[in-house]
Amino acid sequence: MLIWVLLYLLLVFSFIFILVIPVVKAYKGVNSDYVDVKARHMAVKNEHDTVFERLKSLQAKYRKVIAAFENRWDEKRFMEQARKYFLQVRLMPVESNVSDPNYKIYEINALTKMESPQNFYRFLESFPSIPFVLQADFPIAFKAHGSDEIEGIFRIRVYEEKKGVESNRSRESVLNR
Amino acid sequence: MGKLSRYFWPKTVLLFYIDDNNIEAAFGFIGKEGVDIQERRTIAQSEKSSLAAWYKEIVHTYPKTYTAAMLDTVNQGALPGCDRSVFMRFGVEAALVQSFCVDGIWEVYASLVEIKWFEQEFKGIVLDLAYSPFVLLYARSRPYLEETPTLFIFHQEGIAFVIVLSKERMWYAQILIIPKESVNEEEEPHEDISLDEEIEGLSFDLEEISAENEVEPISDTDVLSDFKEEIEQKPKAEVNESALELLEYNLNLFESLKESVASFYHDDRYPHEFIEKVVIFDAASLEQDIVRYIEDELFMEVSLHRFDPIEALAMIAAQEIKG
Amino acid sequence: MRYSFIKPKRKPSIDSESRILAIFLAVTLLLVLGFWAFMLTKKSSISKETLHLRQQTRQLKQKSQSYRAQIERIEHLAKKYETIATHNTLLKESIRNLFDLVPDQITLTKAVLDKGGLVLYGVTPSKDVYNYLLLAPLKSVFQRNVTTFYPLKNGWWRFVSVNEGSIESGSEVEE
Repeated sequence: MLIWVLLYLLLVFSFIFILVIPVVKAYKGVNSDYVDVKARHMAVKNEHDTVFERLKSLQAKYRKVIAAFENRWDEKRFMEQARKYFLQVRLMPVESNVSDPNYKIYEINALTKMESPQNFYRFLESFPSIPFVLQADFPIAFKAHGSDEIEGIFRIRVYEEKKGVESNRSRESVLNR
Repeated sequence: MGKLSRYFWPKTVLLFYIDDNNIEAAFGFIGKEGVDIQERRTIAQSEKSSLAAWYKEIVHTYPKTYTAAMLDTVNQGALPGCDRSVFMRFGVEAALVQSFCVDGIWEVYASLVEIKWFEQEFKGIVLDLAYSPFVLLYARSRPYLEETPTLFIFHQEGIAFVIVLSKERMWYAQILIIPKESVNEEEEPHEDISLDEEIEGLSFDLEEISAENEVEPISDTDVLSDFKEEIEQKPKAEVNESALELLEYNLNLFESLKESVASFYHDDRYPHEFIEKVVIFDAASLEQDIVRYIEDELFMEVSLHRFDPIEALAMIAAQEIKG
Repeated sequence: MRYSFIKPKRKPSIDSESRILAIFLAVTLLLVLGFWAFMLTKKSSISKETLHLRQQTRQLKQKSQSYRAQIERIEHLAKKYETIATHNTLLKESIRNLFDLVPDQITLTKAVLDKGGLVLYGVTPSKDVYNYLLLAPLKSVFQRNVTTFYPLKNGWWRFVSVNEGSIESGSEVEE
């Protein structure tokens, strides 16, 4: 009788030692790993969410700006806008001595005929609504032709974002580095 | 491998039978090869309770213990054939007995009341199997069966069970009570129990024979009608007195046998056929004397064998338990 | 074949003690094994989850990095645009101021503006008008001023005003 009890105890204890204790140890280890990994994940996720929000808001805020930089320079489109302000507009490309690693720059001389300098001012003020990044610059020359016409020549510099340097588009896409 | 299984709740059996004044008992394991007997005990009838005590001990260790006993009641017997008419033909009240057909050849029966009484006698023991002595004799005789009928005798001290068997049928059966002194008168020296059931005056129990009477030498010429004595279990009798008793007894046995054979031949209820062989299975201490008597006077071929009822019990009990 | 008068009774296959013990043992073992199996599955599920989280963390970090890069770009663009717009405005204002300087009496025929300075061609009724009304303010704007007068038949003067060394004009397009 006793021998059965002893055998039983032996069996149970051996099961416990051989099976249960290692598995509990393993479990504890795995669980603590999990807790760490989860915590890290939470942190990273929070950061991700924050950054994402910021990106979104920036993208919203600067939609026009981004578009302006991304648009490929199109003379015709520009001319459509420019003509509103001048009697005559003609563009002549110029050798560019300015270079920028991030942007492709077009140097253009604008040869215009306008009624008064107000046109020029209005024109400059209209830049935000033009889907290009334009900088008006020296040299600027105004010549009076008669009392109703002023010939204006000025430099326009067009900035275009270079593709391939920062090859992000404004849309949310994951970079595969 | 078999021994190993003894550690896992083995089947065990307690066998016992009643012999004279004692209960012979044996305990053994039931295995593939029958019963492996571990211990034998002889318990006096007066200390019956020690058998029950032994049983309790055994059961405590071996819950799967079966018990098998030889039924030693008076009102029991064997009838030739298994059809319902045998009971009527031989005057046995079918309603009062438990009976069944053995191997399709003969019907064994015993008084229901007495079976219950026997179980009560050994109240402390849960009795699983109870066998008629005829069944034990039959089992022991099976290897000797032939085409022609043979007379088989199961002899215990003071009692003989007689059965005539051949391979195909049973012819005749009788229980003989052997008196211890010679009786010349025809005053019912033995019971022909196959005739009547439940007749109080005639039936008696061997157990009720008073024990421990003084053994007195009895001459051949003495006539004693009511006085019954027990003869002590004789040792190899060198002493004249006990030799005389022995002779006495053998003669009585022979006489009873002779009468039994005669009644078989003359009774019309039994089919007529000559018996040529006699096989004696002795559980007491018969010697070749009886063989000579029968051979000389009845002209039959006689063989004498030792018989251990325990072994016979073991054999059939094991079969029944396993099956 | 039947040989006995009575039928054997059913015996218990295991004594009650052993039975209880066997049940106890079975239940205990079951519990232990069950617990072990449960732990095993939990462990493996947590492992999987951990792996998954690690992967996600990696991805999120990557995304964050990319977002940051995008933000940086946008900020650069915005800044650049702002700079350019400011420059344009300044340019416009300075030109407007310049022309506002010119009094009604004086008529300009040509104006040439440059990074370094300004050359005005025009007609003035008198030198004094020019000097007091145009040159004076020009002087305050430009460091060097050289005026050349050419008399005209009608008593008016044609002038060429060369002014250099501008202090305030944001004509350098610098970052």
